[in-house]
Amino acid sequence: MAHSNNIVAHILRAGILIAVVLAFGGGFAYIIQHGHETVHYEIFLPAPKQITSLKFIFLSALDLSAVGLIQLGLLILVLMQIIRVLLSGCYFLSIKDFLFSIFSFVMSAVLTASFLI
Amino acid sequence: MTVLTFSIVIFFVSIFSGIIGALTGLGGGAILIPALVLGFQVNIHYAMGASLISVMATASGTSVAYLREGYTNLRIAIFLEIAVLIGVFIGAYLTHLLPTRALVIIFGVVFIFSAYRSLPKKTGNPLADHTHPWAQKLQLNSTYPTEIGMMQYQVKDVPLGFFIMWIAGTLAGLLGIGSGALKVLAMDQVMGLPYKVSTTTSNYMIGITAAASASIYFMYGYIEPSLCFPVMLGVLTGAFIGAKILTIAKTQLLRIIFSAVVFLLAVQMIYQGTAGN
Repeated sequence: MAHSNNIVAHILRAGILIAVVLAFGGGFAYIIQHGHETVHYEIFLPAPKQITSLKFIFLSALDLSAVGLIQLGLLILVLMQIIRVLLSGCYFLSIKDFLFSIFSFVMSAVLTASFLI
Repeated sequence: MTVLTFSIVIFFVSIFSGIIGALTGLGGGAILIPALVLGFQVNIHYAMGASLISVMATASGTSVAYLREGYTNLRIAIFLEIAVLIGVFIGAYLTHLLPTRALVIIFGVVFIFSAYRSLPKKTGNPLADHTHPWAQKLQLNSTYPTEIGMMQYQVKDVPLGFFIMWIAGTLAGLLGIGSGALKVLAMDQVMGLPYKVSTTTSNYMIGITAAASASIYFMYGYIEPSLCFPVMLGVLTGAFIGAKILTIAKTQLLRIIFSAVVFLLAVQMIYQGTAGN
């Protein structure tokens, strides 16, 4: 049990590390490009597809755009919440607790579906 | 303010917010939203997006540590999160059907009373002295670390706790506010869990609840990357620090911090309901 818990901890840490590296790298690039501009967050403006649509976030991250990299890091942060539930399901399965593993797997499936639709 | 200065300031505000989120199980939105809106004139929609990111960062920054220490009750988290998620999906559909302004005021008032009730009592806050048949069947009763070693605890009033979690989920889907507070209150005040078990289990759950709304927030453009990256990095840093503090902090102190933050949240909700956004 301790062994499988360690694996779970490593996967969760690795995921967060990837998210941090992407957000930090993107953020650093954003500050180099726009650091001296004045911030304007008073008015809510319609956002471009590059930051709202899954497909375009991936494409702009592949282009190494600063904003695309940040959004991809944030998306991985979301994904890690779903993976956390999925890993809980694997843990319950490993201790032969089938009821709670079903709860966890169904929950992660519902979350994945709600995220993709 | 320039982008560089703004990012650095928001990073430090987010560290503070992450520490408070890790200690209270509330995710930090109660601090971050007023700080952004009142302190930096950030539009409420961007602030809500940043708050959603901060909730997930708090959950991710604390979940491994709290599970390893033995505070988080994984069974309770998964079981209660079922009710929360049902609520989130129903809440999102009810947005246009229910008087959200009235609801936000009602819950604001409820939270003021709850903040008072959560304060540490001179005689000590009682734990559950009996268990519920569901808790036995689902093996929810467990142990947690204290100064004198691992202690057993029981779980009572599981159906009522489950019902309140459904309301917490509906609030999250409907208003995007107050869900974490209701989760801690249900576990602490209704189900009779030890305080640190309630807040750490809430920390595990809030990230999952937030993930259920994430796609909508991205789609509507609430997640502004230039604002969210210092928030995510700061909150994660704060959550790591907070998780270290929680293990050594006295429960009485944590209760006072929790009550203060819930009171702040209640004031925000009543203001939001009476004055609009």
